Amino acid sequence: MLIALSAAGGAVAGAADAPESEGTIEIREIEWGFDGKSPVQTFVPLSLLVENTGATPAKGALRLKKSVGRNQRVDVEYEQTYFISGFSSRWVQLTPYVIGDFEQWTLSWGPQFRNKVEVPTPRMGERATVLIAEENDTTAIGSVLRRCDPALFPTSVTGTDSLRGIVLHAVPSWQGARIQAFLDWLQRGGRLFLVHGADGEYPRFSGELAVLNDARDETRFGSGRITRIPLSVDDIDADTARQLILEPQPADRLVESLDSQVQRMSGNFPVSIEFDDYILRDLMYLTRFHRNWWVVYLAAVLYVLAVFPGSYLLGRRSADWRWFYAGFLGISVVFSAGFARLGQLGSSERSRTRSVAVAYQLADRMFDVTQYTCAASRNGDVYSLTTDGSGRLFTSCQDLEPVKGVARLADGVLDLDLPSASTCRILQRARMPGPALDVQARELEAGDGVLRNLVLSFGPDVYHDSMLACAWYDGTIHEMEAGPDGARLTTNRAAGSQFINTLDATPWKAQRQLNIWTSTDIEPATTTEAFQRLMAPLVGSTLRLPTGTYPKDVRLDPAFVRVLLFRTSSDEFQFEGNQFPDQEGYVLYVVDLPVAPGAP
Amino acid sequence: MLHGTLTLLTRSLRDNARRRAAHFVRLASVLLLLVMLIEAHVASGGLGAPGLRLFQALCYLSIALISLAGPGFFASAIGEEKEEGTLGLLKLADLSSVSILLGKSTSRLMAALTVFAGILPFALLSITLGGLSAQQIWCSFVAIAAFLILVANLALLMSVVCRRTSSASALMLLLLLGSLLLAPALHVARPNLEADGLVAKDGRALSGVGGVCEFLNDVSVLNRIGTILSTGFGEGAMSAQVWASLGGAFAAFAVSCIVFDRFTEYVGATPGGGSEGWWRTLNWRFRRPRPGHWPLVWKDFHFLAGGRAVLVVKSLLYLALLVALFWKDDWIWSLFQMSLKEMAWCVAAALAVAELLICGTKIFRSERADGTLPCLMMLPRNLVSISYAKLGGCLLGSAPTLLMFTVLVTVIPDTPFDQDEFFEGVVPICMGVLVLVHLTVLYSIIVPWGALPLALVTVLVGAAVIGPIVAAAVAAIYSAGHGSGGAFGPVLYAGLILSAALQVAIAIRLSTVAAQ
Repeated sequence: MLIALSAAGGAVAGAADAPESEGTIEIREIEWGFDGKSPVQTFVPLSLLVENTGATPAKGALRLKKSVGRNQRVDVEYEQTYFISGFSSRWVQLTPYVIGDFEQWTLSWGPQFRNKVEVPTPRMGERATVLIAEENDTTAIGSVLRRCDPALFPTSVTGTDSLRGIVLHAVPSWQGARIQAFLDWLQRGGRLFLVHGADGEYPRFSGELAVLNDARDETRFGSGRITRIPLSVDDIDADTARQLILEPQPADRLVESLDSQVQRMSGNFPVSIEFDDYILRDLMYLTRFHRNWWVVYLAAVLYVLAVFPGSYLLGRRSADWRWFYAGFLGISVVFSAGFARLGQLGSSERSRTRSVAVAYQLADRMFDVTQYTCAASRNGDVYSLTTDGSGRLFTSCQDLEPVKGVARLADGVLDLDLPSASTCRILQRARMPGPALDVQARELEAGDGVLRNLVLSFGPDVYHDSMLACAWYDGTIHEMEAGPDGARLTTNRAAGSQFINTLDATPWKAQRQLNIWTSTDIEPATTTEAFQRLMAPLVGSTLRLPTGTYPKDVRLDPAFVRVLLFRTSSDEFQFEGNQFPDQEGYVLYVVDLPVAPGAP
Repeated sequence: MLHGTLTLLTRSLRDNARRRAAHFVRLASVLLLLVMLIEAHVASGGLGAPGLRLFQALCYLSIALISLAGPGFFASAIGEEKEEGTLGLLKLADLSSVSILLGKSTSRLMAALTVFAGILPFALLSITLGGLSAQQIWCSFVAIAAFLILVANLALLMSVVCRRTSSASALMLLLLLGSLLLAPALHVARPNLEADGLVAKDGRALSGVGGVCEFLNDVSVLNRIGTILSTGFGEGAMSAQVWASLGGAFAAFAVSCIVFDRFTEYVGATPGGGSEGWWRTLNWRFRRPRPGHWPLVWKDFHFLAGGRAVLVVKSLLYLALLVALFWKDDWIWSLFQMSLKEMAWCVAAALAVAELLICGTKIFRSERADGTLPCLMMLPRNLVSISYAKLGGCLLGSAPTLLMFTVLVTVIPDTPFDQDEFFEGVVPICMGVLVLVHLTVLYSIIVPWGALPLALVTVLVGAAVIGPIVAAAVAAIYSAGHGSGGAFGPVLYAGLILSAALQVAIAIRLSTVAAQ
């Protein structure tokens, strides 16, 4: 009955929010990700082949909704505009955030209730390695590799989180944004495999892709690796593909089951790979408006006592029964006023955001950013949130309650309806401009899995009093001492898996991350310490670990040293406008420095 | 003049102030809300507006409870006096109709309003959890209080007009379902019906019906709550819904006063014995055979389930319903956005559940009301065999429901749910219905009226308190990788254990009542 009542209450509101559409369209094909699968907790491209069945152009907006359980909507809605000429079709892509296989997806367009399709839930899997081939490319028909149409490649690096590797046997028909997205993806650590085409030769690239023409068998592009395999697509059988192309990276290999890890860690529960949820929960504690809960519960107990035995005695023993009603209503009024007063926010409270971000340097002043934000609204309002940059994706990472909001993917704006005194989690991906870091290795000695010496310099205005710096080489994270003139190694170091893996899932009971060597349990005393505590899960989130694994040993490619600078956020990463006058955050800058520049 | 008019009301209010049970009900409601508040606070870690979620749940729970109180609590105000034959005594005491109505119905309304006032402070604590303002809470309470007053007075009118309490309850239930659910659904579905060409745009009949539906939707308490709880709400407490509810309540009370004498003039004790008129004729045509070897089964089949006549009529009705569903399947999609398969199975399941619940209310209540329970307990059979024999007799009357399911399985072999939906939806609902039926049987032996509404209230309130805990446990098991089958195992076990415990309680209560 409750379900029926709440459904009846919400029916009208839902219908009124749907955007208008013109023309009639049909959804002909639905493709999740690059190979039909999706990793957990990742932004995954959802490609839809939309056909206009009429003569006139069709335009409107596709809305994607997510629900769990018995049709309980969660998260925000995702909206993407379309324009399709008469009697034609084209691919339209949305990039929602997939948490797991328990979600149900519904796509709708326009207010007409029949304009709706159920989108199949994606199969969960690892990040994809695919062969980029046109649909009518007959040379790759017999390939054991999963094919992906080049038209489905995202137009921004932010949509490539579910892509591990690409096999190219011909020059793809990409232009502009797709080429840039591909190069950014490769720079971030993508794996590119070049194989022989129909002519028996490697593809010959031009323009911006000319960097791929290096004839060496193994080359580097940023943190990415380009491998040349002297075989054609048809010659690659399942075993060859497994050994040469699909072989997991070293960091993926060394995993173990949760039970054995708990046993190895003497019962301490390792943090799961749910870094996103952990980070956002911690941010929520930082962002929430302060309440005196002990006063609230004390008043609650007093009220219960006033009702019984207070009003009970009044009703049983008073000579005039009217005293009971006067007293009971008086108690109700007094405590109502008191509780209403307790629930009010102080005059000094303002709408605010607290955020942490991982900013991977793609080029000078250009970053691939993953930003976790918790926003708190004092008086309640509808907010339009956006930042600088391109390829902006948003989600509330929320699978417990619906969030009244729409992520307008075409404009890169999140429209959010926040009730008063409420909070909302926001996970954002974007390719954004940022400060000039100018991180250089003045001295670097590394080899055989050991980082012996590292002295860094960085640009002006990079250093901040509360800045933390680390260097991760192979399987070890080294603490660095940072100052205005740069940073150098200290003697403190820890295994990478230990660094990211010893958090207790309960907030405020975690070991202080950079004091892990002293194993001290410290409650964060200041906001700065609370932010600094988030550095470890942020570092963990950069690894993009395979689904359901708990890394025993995490090692990076020894070809480079990963510099991690954790400092206060700059204005570029904050939401535009003054809707949230109090914005505070930290950014983990990630810069990969080659150990031997130019070497594979 | 007023002194005599307010005599009964004054007496009832004094009684409500003195009685322990009334105080315990108020205390229980306050404690229930405190538990919900603590649960919401504990579970608020991952939620952005936990206060809003809690208060929304509280509002819908309140509306559901008031809707159940209408048929179950308020609709018996005058009806129980009619059926017990005491209404004449009240009139002999020279009490006016206004006095009787105030004393019987308004006193109940005042008792409910004091419970309402008691939970207001804790409801305001939702602000502390975040997501809404004091203004929104206050306006919601005013809207729900107006709805309560409307329901109480409409139920009073039904109670005056109808001869029996059961008729008044059924009529009140239909009225509530129609105004709260059906009318808004029709209003929302009207554009869909017009778009699909199922109804003519601007047709006269449709305009009239549509206008009524639109009015009912606009003054619906559900619509009002949705408006109040939206971001940026800044209206006052007195809205069209509040005025319409208070106006409707006043009108219902006034009509009750006017027609009271007309509908209570010749009321005596409820006649027992056989049926009358065409029903008697129909029953005569389907003469009851001799009991044979299963007398208890025979008795309940013929006297509770209605016998062969009802069996035939129900079979024809259910089959006609199925035919209507298949014939108008395009309407189903336009109205409810459900497929024919889903609607057919939902209707069949709803009818089956309704039959089970009606069987539950009657199975022992009739024995108690007729005073035959001691005789039943003296039979040379154990209580278990007596109970299950009676159940068998009642369930024989559900053969048409079985026939309907058979037809459905034959015509629509695919079930409308997959394995996950079976465990996530069907299993919890089945366990809920099982517990509800057992509670109904138990309450039918304890209270003279309103066993089913009381059982529904118990299940609703229990679900509101225990539901979050069970949901968290299920989620934890599911997250550990045991799948939906493993995750909902505890729901299955809890339902079965609770039902077994209720059966024991029923047996104990039966023995106690039979000995009285």
